[in-house]
Amino acid sequence: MTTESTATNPFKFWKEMTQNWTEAWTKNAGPWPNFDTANMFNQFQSFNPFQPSDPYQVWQQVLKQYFDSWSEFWTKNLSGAASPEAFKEAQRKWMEQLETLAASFAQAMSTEAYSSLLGKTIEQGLTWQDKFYQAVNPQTDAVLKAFNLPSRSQMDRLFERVIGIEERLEELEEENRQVLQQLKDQDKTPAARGRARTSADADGATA
Amino acid sequence: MANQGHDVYLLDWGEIAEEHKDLGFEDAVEKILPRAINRALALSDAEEVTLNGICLGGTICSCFLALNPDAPVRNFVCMVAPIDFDHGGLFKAWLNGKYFPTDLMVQRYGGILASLMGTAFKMLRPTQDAQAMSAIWANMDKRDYVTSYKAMSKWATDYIGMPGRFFSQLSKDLYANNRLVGKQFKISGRRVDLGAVRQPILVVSAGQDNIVPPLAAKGLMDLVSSRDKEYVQLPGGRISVFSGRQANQNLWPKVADWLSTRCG
Repeated sequence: MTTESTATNPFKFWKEMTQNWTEAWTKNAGPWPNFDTANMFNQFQSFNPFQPSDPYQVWQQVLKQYFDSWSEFWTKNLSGAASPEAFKEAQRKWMEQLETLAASFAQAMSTEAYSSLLGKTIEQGLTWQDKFYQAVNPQTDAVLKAFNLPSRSQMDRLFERVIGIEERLEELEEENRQVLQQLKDQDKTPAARGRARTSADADGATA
Repeated sequence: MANQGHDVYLLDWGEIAEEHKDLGFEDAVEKILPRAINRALALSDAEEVTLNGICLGGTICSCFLALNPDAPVRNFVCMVAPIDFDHGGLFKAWLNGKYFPTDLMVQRYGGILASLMGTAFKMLRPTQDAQAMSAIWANMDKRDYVTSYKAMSKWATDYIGMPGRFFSQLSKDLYANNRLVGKQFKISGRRVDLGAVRQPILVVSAGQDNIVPPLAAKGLMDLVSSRDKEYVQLPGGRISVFSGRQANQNLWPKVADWLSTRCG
């Protein structure tokens, strides 16, 4: 088992998988059928594009393959000679393999083809989500209303209002700070000190 | 830094949710940062501050200094901050203006959810978790390593979201079109020209940073007008540069040394 071969196989595996998923995506994200609201959740369960759309899932499968190959490597090469040296050597090779794999990923993911794939995948996922929520939201809102609970959009508006109030408060604090600073600066001017002295003298004369 | 006698004030992102979708560079540069500086000055009774921006915080600070040349800022330390987005690594490739549906994403989520940020960062190096696990397996007998790993791992995977408007500007203006370097990036209609930055400046990058590669951070050096400027590229990855044992050995002594001759 060389580093080269173990790094190349998962890469091919990953490449084929992403190609297949993109193809499936393109087909599924074409003209979208109207939601059958009565059967919506069955539809959702039978086709859930979020799962394959998460590219991290791809990596996890590649890593799983790597762990399998590691297990095989362990069984073939080390199980009979589990000395500390053999173990350390295996660990070193394993880290080398991961490093090679990381470099392969970085190279593949920096291509324009990958950017296009990623962009298309996200776009299709978002489009699908939009359609799904457009169909689901009115029903969710109706249920919440029946229980006298606020909807998500109402909560968003409430939070926006709170943020607006916070913002106004910050502005008032800043204005207040500036006014206090101006008053402090005025107190430091000779004219202000003179006025304060005159006032004190007058107070003394009165007393 | 605090142990060396500096008054340190921190400003972090906070919790970003859908209701923050309209926050953009304008808010960070024109409202939040100036207020934080004023607050720090009032609390410390100082006349000037040293700004230390990390990652996008450094980008924000750079924009602030460019638009406010008279701000009460004596020095600027800019760490692993993306400035020249043409060298922005994989994020540059992924946020390609031709393919990435920025508007659709902002419209759908009001920004970038924390979970999506997590996925994006993990995608940068898909083998990272396996490598980290292998490393901890190899070092499990070292108590310090395990403690440090636990702390860093919790912090490094505690992702936060990004407001929609901010992400839109970052994706379209900066990553896709590199407008900061081209002097075409505008904040509230004002063009950001980093040539207006004249403070003494220390730019730090990490040699193995895959989020902000060294060249993306180093770009600031060529754009500012500061006469007193220094660039340091430290070994290691992004996080280890400014936190953990390695940071205490390399970065923070360097920053303290640099500041010692520039702070009154």
